[in-house]
Order: sequence, then C-alpha cells, then structure tokens
Amino acid sequence: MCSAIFMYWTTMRLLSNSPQPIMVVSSESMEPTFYRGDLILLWNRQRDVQVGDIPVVWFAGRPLPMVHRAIKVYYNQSSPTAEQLILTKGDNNLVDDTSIYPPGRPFIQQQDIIGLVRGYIPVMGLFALLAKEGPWVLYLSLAFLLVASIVL
Amino acid sequence: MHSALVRVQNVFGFFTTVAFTVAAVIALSSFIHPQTPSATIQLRNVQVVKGRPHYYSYKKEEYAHIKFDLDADLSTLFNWNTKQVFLYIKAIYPSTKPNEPASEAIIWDAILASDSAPWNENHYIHPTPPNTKKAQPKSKATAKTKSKTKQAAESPYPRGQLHLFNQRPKYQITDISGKLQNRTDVQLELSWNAQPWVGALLWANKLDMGMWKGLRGGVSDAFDFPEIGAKKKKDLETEKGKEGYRLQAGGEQPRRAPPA
Repeated sequence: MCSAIFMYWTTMRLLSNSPQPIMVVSSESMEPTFYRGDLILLWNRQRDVQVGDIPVVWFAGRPLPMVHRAIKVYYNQSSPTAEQLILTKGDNNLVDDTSIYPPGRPFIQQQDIIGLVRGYIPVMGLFALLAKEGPWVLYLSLAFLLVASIVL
Repeated sequence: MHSALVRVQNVFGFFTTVAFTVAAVIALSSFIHPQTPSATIQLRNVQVVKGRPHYYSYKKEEYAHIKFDLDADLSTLFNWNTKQVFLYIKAIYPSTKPNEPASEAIIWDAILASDSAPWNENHYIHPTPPNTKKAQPKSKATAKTKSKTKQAAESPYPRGQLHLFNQRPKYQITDISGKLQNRTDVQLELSWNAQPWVGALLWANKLDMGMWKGLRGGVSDAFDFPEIGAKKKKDLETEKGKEGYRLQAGGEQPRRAPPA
C-alpha cells in the first residue's frame, strides 16, 4: 500500500512537472482567496507566467514557499534568451513582495517557481497543518492506532 | 473484517471516495452554467511622474498613473460553484527590443465575492455613482452604522456589474528599465480569475467554450505614455485597496538593498 501511494505521488510529480504538486496553504497572505489549510494543486508546464496567475515561489534555503499572485511581468532585456522577471503580491498584503525576496533580487524568475496554482480543495489540509505545527498530533494518532489495533 | 478499527477504516475510505466524487461533480457541473461576460474599458487620463520604488533607494524611476472608465457586466460569471472573482485590469505595453514579448502590469484589482462567501474585509464594495442623491440620514443612525460595519454595504448595482468613472488606479506602474515616458501602443485589458468553491481556478476566456461565451470587449484603445508631467500631488493619489486598512500579514520589514 505504501508503494502504491509512492507511485501515485511520483506520477503526479511527473505529470505536473512540479516537485510538489499538492501543497497546503499555511499563511493568511492570500485571504480571502486561500485560507490556511486549503489544499492547492499545482501545474508547472507553463511557458510564460502571466499577470493574474498564482505562482508558488520557493527560494532555496527558505523553510516555506510563498503563494502569491503575479502582478507584474517583464522580460529580462539584458539576457540573450528572453527570461521572465515577475513581481508578486499577496491578495491580503498591502505592498508587493520585493521586501520578502532575497536581498538584491527585486524580482523572481521562472526557476524559482515550483508551479502555478490551477485548482484547490478547501479545508482538506487542516489536519496536515495541525500535524506540522504540533507533532503531538502525530504521536497521539499513532498511539491511538496502535492501541486500537491491539484492543479492538 | 470484524474489528471496529477495520470498520472505521472502511467507513472513512467510503467517506473520502464519496466526498471526492461529489466535489468532482460540482466542479464539472459549473461548466453547464451559461456565461456571457462583456466589458468596456476606456482610458481617462495618464500621467508619468518620477518616483522611487522605496523610500531608501537612490534610483529614480518613472511611474505611470493611469485613470480609467470601466463598464462591465460579469454577473453571469457567478454560479453555484463560484466563491469569488478576482478582477484585475492590466496595462500591456510592448518592449523596446523588437523580438521581446510585451510587458504586463496590474494597475487595479478588486475581489468580487459571491453571496455564499463568508464576509471578508477585502471584498470589493462598489462605490456609489457620483450623480445619485445621498440617502437621508435616518434617526436610528447609530444602530444602522454599527450593523453596516459588520455586513457589506449594498452595492447600487447587481452583483457582477461595475460602472466606474475616472477610477484611480491602485498601483502606479513602472518599467524594469526605469523609463516609461513616450512609450507607444499601451493597452488596458480587463481580466479575471474565477475561484470556485471546489475545483479548478479559471482565468478569463476570450474564446467561446460551449455554454461559456468569451469576453466581449474588455480591451481599451491603444494610447501612449506622455512625457513627465503632473505636479499636483492630488492628481496622483492611488486607490487604497481594502487590504491597505490593516497591518500587513507577516509584518516583514524591508531590507536595505545593496548598491547595484
């Protein structure tokens, strides 16, 4: 059964071209679009990002990704291949994300994006959030399963 | 097959199967609701000024302040599976290099919530048109104003219809090169992102897809960015979105950018 789950997960990663095609929203910076605990489904086969899309940006070394909306899209005029430069802003934030990007980089590029949000399922990720923020939930449910499988 | 744990597992498995099937049916059923969105957008005024991206940066860049008129009928976008429609107007201008695609920047956005969505402070409230008479203040003014802060103010138009005149933008836009004046062939385009309760997020469709007709109109005529002008500060006020009336989520402080 574990191998079946692994196969499904790897197939989804291949199909969507994203390292993590299902994620849980963990910040309130996109309310009321996405609330904490929503499951978002990603797709990473875009050629270009357009304004209005919702890229998930995960910088190397950061513990958490950012799910914000692209509000400005430019093309890098100094590189020979037209690379996109994108600026994002959360729907619930007043200012754009320039201050949250790594210092020295006022824009993000396609390589920082692990996928665009294409679908979502509300509320389903709340248990995963709870488990991440308090490992006691996992220990408790594991203990309960062990006890239940012996006793019942 | 006779222990309680196995029974609980079976029930839970059945629950998830049914839940996903119902969600899939709801998501697919929204495609049979007919849609006929239409919009007209016109440029009212555009000014280019010099400004800084942050208070501590030394580079001065040119910013464009674009005011527009918008008449849109998007009421058919709302069906039983719509939670909100994120509406935005973007300015598209071609690049200075011949082979590069055009740049896009959002100048205004609004979150139109459906009736089934729980109230959120970021929901767009349509401003009352300037020609209508103000309602007479009622004698029970205090009770009314208290309840008004809780529920959204009533829009003068049905949900999904917008009529904005000389609307100030929410964002002033600049180019990555810092130079924006005298750019030609700029267009304003209306677009949206319809978010369902469950299912796929869908952006504006220009082509007809079955019962869903493409957006009619929604693109302004081409105009140019003028030279730098506009001395009056009052002309350059931007619209503050509803999210601007509270502290930023996360509370990040801007860091000093290293010199280029």
